[in-house]
Amino acid sequence: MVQKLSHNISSYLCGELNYSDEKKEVLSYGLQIILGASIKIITIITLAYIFNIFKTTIVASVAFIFFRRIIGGSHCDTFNKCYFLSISLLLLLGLLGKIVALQYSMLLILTIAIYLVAVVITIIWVPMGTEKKTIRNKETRLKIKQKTFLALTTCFLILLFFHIQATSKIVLSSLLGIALAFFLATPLGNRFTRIKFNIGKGEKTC
Amino acid sequence: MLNIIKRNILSITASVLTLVAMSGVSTTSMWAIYEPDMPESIKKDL
Repeated sequence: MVQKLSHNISSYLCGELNYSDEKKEVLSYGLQIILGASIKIITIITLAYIFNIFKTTIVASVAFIFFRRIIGGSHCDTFNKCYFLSISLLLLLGLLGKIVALQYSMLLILTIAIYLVAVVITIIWVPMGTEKKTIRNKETRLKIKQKTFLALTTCFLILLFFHIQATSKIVLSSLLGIALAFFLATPLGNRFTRIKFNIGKGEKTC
Repeated sequence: MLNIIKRNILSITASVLTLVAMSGVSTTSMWAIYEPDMPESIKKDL
């Protein structure tokens, strides 16, 4: 649906502006990105609000997207699968962030453990490419690793500050979002997104 | 007059879409959870 709609809109734009077919492909690609992301964001916000997990879901989603845009990671092979998987996972993180109550010491241990695992993942796999796009330039890869390490350390220092402020739900939701982003940057995460669900028989665009 | 305004709006829309498409070129794109098939014409920027 998203692909078809994007093609139709880009065809109209190119017809009106006398653009080439090559330009039409670029516009269609841009539209697919915008429409796909918008549909998912609107659905997540609406469902999180309905299920009363708005705050924790938004915190988990922001943490997830912040690291995802730096480290990359695996993607699903169809739009439908991507839609249901990303929405379910982010809502689940929001729900866990809301209902799980950890003691200060447990939360601190979890924070340090996730930080250490994320550092290892950064050294070994970041930036994780996909079938469609992979960064092979060694210099660029090293720069992304450095950027990830810097962002990760800064983020965890901020989270430690929140520990002191005793806002455990915010800390836990952020940790879950970060953990998901790094999990999807591993070969195991890549395999997880390739699991066959019956919902994945839509257009192959995600 | 209306045609000029329409053409300008469409041009701006096309420019924004091109910008979004170019920002999605990297594997670590800011569009986080969506990865459509990339056109060959912008693959070379990767």
